[in-house]
Amino acid sequence: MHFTFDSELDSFITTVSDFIRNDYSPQHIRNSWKQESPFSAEKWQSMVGLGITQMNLDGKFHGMGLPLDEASLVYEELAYGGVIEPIIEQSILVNNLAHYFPTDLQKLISSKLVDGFIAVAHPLSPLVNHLSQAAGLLSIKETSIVYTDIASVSHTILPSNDPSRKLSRIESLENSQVFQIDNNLEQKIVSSGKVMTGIMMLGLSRRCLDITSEYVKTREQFGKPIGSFQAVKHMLADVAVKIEFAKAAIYRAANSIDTNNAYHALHANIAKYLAAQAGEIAAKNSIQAHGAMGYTWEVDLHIFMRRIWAITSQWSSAGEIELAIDGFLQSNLEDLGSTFTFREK
Amino acid sequence: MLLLRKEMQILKMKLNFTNDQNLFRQEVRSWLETNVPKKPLLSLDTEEGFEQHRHWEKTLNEGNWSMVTWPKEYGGRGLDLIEWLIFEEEYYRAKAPTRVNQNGVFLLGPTLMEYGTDLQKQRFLSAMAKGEHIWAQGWSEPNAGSDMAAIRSTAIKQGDKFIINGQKTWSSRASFADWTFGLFRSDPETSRHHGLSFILVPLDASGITVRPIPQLDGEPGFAEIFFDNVEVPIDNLIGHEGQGWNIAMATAGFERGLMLRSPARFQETAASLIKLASNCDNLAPSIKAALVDCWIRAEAYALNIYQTASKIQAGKKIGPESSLGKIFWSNLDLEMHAVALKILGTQSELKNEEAKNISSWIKGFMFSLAGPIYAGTNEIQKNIVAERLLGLPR
Repeated sequence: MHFTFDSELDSFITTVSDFIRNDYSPQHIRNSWKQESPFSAEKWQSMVGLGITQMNLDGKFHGMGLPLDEASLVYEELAYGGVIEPIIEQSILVNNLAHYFPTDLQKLISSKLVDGFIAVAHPLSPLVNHLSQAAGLLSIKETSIVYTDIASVSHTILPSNDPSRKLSRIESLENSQVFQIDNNLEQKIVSSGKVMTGIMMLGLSRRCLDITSEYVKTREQFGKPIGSFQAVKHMLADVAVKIEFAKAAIYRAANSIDTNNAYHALHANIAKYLAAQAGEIAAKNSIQAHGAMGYTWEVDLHIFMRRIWAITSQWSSAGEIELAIDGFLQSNLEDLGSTFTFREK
Repeated sequence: MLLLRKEMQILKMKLNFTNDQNLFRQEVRSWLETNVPKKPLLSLDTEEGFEQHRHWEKTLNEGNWSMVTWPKEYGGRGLDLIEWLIFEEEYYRAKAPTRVNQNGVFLLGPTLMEYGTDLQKQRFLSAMAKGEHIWAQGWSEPNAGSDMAAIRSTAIKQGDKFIINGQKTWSSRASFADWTFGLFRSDPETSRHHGLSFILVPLDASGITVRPIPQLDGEPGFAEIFFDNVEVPIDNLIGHEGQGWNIAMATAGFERGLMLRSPARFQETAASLIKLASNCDNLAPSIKAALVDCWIRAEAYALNIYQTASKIQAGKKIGPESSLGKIFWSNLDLEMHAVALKILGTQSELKNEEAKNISSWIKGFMFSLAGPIYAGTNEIQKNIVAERLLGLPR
């Protein structure tokens, strides 16, 4: 039992944080919104240059093969920065699992794993973000993965409440190649989608909390910073509690995906549920602590708050997870309790 | 840019138990199966029940299970935190009795090991481990609750003695305990957290009056202690005069931290709650949602504590983060019991001893209401989180 990260990863996380601070400001995000597509090929290349796409990629594709639990800290930093380009999606949904794909599919996409972007569609996440920028699309359904080059995907762009997101509804696919997969891989993709959303929630929630903490330290009313009032302190402490208690669940679920833990689907549900709750309260209490300023377009808070609202139900809503876990509990009544958490099947 | 993995020498996260840890679990399990009393003990807040629980401390000690985290040199097993969590999981799984000497074993014990003299360690540690000395806490006073630095009880040095005067309150276990440890103002010229001393006082000393306070369940789980010119030898001072606040903060840190409430306790409650619900037809969707929420939170607490234990074992220090945990588990415990009462409906008020599986919920509900209050109210914990973790102004 070793439930912690080696501090040697810290230097890489610092590199990514520096990139966010220096090259990915809220102003950059606002500027991107004015473009035809907010996706920046230049930023994508910068992140590829940092080694993001190689991190989880298996050695057979010349990747680093870092476990997802460790890498999640890096993705959390990118989410904290509000990155627009779907590099976290590419890394977690495609690269981290590519070595499980059918061999022919591996051959087909291997040249695109490091530099390119391959989009993923699944019934639990049917709207595809930034599809126009992708080299190809993987549509996953039960026991098949369908690969289609972007030129052969017909899709309709749908506006999102988050201007950083450019969503597409898939209309039809031509010249596709169909690959059979087993149910395990499909389950792993679903778990990865949930964990990915959870990681994003953690980063975004932390960003909202940081922005708000700074705001309440400087905004004065009644002659003192509003952050000195307990009503405000307690709201933000509540957010910190929710964030803290989602973290370990995320890392464990990420670990379960990588180690083929028989309970990875349950672990991913738990992780996503907690992280979505953290996101919900982070957004709600942050806007409240900002007062009317929080209701404006000009304060940066909404860039991150909007993302939380946009992605929270990706790969299963809270209600769907509740139903799934309720079912699990009812059929495992005798196994619950203090020895359950790290039980092995 | 990215460091190569082999250069990084990362110790991989590993989320399963080693063979040794599994063997240890088996050892604990089989000892508990043999030794945990088949008939539940009476409440530890009754005179008879208190003695039953004292006897259980003795039984635990005979198996060398009473203070498993203490170093071997003090008669413990020197378990690391992960082993301790395993021990606790088995302990709660076996429904073993509540530890009547929790104050001693988990709070005062580690404090003595850090600040006590060799003589004090000899005098107190072994007696504590055997249940010969059951300890009560002496922190709060009528006017020093959340604001503990407002302590007024005095301990004035006269020759080789302290003369203690004043009043302590909300002293858990004091109704039947043998000793109390607490903070007293040894320099009356001082205020706030200066000039306080950490002193051990036998509760049978002349000049002491213990007035039990019935709790919500009607039993005297805590008490007031009145000190009227109580003489205590200076050998009972822990650390130096005036150093009491810092020592107490270290002790309170143990209390808020993972030693007070191990996850197993809440996981067992969550499991019982789900079983309770499974016997009911037609549960409302809101109740089902609450059950799932409680179970997930109990899991989240366990995962967080395993991560914290791993961090500590890797040499990291845990500071104000422990306040996050205290807020989390106390709210969870309250929520679980509140949901249970809703499930029980009209049965929930029954105090029937024959139907313990029902009456334990209302009793547990009342106790869970104390969680957000004791060991520093959750409002104080939230201030700590906001000021020390988020950097908000005082």
